[in-house]
Amino acid sequence: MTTPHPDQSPVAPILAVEDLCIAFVSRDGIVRAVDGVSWQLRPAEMLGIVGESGCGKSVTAMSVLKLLPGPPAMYSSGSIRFRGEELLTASEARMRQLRGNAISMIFQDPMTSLNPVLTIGEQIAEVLILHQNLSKRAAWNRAGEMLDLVGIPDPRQRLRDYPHQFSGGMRQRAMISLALACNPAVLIADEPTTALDVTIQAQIMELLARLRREMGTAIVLITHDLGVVAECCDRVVVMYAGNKVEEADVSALFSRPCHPYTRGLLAAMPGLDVAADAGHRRLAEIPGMLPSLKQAAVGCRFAPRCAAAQERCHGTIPELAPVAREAPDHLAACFRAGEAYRGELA
Amino acid sequence: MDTPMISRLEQRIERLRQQPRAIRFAARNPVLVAGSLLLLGILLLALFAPWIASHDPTEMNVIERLKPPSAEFLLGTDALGRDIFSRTLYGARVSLLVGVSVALLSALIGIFVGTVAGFNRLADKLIMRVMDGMMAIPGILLAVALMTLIHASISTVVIAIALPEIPRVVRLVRSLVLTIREQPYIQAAQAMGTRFPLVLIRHVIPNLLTPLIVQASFIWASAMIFEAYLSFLGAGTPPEVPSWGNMMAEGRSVVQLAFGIILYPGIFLGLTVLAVNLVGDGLRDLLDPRIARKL
Repeated sequence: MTTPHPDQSPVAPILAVEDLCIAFVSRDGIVRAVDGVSWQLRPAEMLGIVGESGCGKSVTAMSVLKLLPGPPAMYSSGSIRFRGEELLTASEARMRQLRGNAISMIFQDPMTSLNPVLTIGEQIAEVLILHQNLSKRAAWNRAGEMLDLVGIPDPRQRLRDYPHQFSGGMRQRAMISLALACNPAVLIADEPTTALDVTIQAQIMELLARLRREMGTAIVLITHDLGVVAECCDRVVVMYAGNKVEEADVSALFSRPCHPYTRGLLAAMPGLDVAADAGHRRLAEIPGMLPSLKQAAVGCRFAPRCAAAQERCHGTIPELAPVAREAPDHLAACFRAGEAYRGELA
Repeated sequence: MDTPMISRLEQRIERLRQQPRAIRFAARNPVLVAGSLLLLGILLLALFAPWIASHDPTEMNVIERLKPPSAEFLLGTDALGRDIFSRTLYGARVSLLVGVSVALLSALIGIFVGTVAGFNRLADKLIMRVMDGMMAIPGILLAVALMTLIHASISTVVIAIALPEIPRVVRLVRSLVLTIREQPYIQAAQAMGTRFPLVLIRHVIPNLLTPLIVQASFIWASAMIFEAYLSFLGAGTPPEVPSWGNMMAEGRSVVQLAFGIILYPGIFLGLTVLAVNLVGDGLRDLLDPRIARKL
C-alpha cells in the first residue's frame, strides 16, 4: 500500500542535505555522530530515515533546524539547503523565521513537548502570532480550525484545556496541529509514534498521510519502525553508525534490500515474513552492538556484525553506489550489494 | 457502569452548577478563601488604622499607664500610657509592609539571578559560590550588623531580612530552571522559532511561578516573624515606630502587671502569619494545573 512514487522528472528538491558531517566534541574524544550523509526531499514527498538507536537519525533531523547546541555539536562539513538557501551558514534570525513557519518539527514524546502551564490554544496561537502576524482573536480562531483539522472533537472547547487534560494521542495531534499551523513546506517528524500505543500510532500516521495529501507538506519521518515506513513513505534512507548505508524507493527496499544491515533490520521485524527463512519462530537479531564513533572508520562500520563480511570489508570503506545498472536510484554502501540485488547472497 | 450511581452524580453536578460562582469557588478552595478573608481583614485594619484607632499610637499619657481594657482604651494601655489597641493596628502596617517588601524583593532578585545562573555555566559557578557564602552567614548576625552599621529604619530592616532569604530563592529558581530548560517543550518552542527572551518569559518563568509564589508566601510569613524578633531584640525597627516586636519588647518588663501588652500584638502576629501561610498553600493548589480539582 505504498503511495506511488512521485514522477521521475527532475523536480527540484525542497530540502537537500549533502555530505553532512556532525561531530560532538567532548573531553574524551570526538564523536562523529553523522558522517557524510546526503539525502534529498522533494515537495510533498515522505522520506523515511530508519536505523537503530544512536545511529544519527535524530541528530540529522535536529541539524536541519540547527537546534543542536553550539558546543558540543559541531558541523564540520557539508550543506543543508532549503529551497536552495544554505542553512548551515544562515543567521540565527533567519533560522528563527524558518523554524515553525517553513520547516516544522514534531517530537517523540507528546507528553513533555507541550508546555504544561499554557493552554493548548495559547500554544498554537503563539506560533501563529509569531510567524503570521495574526491578531490574538484571529490566531485563536485559526488554532480552533487546526485542532479540528487534526480530528479533535469539540475543538473550540478544547483550546482552553491544558495539556494534562489531553490523552497521549490527542497531545500528539495537538503537537501536529501546532507544527502545521503555519502550513510549513517541510515537516520533520522525529519518531512521532514511538511513545504511543499501536492503535493510536496508526491514527497518527494516517493523519500525517492525510495532511500531506491535503496540504502538500513534505515530511521527513524518522523512525525505527519499518512497518510505519512500508506503510507511508516514498523513499527510505537507512542509517547505520552515522552513515547512510542504503537508500531506495520503499518498494525496492522492501523487496530487494541490498545492504546486509537493512536485510538484518527486515529480518528482525516481527510478523512480516520478509526474512529469508520464514519458518523461524524466534525473531532474528543482528549480533553485536553499534561501534564506538570516536575512532575514524577504517573499513565498513558494519563489518564486525556482518555475516557476509569479507577481508576487504575490514580494510576499505565501501562507497555508496547504485546496486545495479538497471536500478540507478537504489544506492547501497556495500561491496556485495550487487550480489544481494541479484539474489546471489544467502 | 453503575447507572444509579452515575445518575446520582449527575444530579449532584447539576446542583453544584446552580450554586453561585463565588460559593463554588469557596467550596473548592476553602483554605485559600479562609486565608484571603483573614488576610484581607488584617489588611483593612492596617490600611484604615488612622480612622479605626481611638488614639494617636505614639501619644503618651503617664496618668493612664498600665490600665486594663476599658471603654476608652479597648485593650488597655502600656507602661507609657499609650493605647495598645491603636498601637496594634499601626503595628500591622509595619509588619505587613516589611513582609511584602521582603517577599517581593527576594523573589524578584531571586528570579533574575537564579535564571542567569541556570542558563549560563560561568555565571552559575560565580553566583552559586557567592550564594553559598551568603548562606553561611547567620541571618540574625547579618541583621544585627547591618542595623548597627546603617542607621535603623524600616528599609534597613527589609534589606537585613531579605539578604539571607535571597540565596534560598536563587537556589530554588536555579534548580527549577535547570530542569525546565531541558524539557522537550523548551526545545519545541525553539523549534517553532520563538526568540530566546520570549522562551524565557512565556515558557520558563511561568513554570517557575507556582513554586516561587508558594516560597514567596512563606518568606513573607517568616519575614514578619523575623521583623518581630529583630525588633524585640532591639535590632529592628527604631523604637519610636509602633511595631509588634517593639511593643512586645516594651511589654516584657511589665508582663506581670499588664499581660496584654505582649498578648495582643502576639495574637495579631500569629493570625497574620497564619493567614499568609494559608493563602500560600491555597494558591499552590489553585495555580498548579496538575493538581486534580474537586467537583
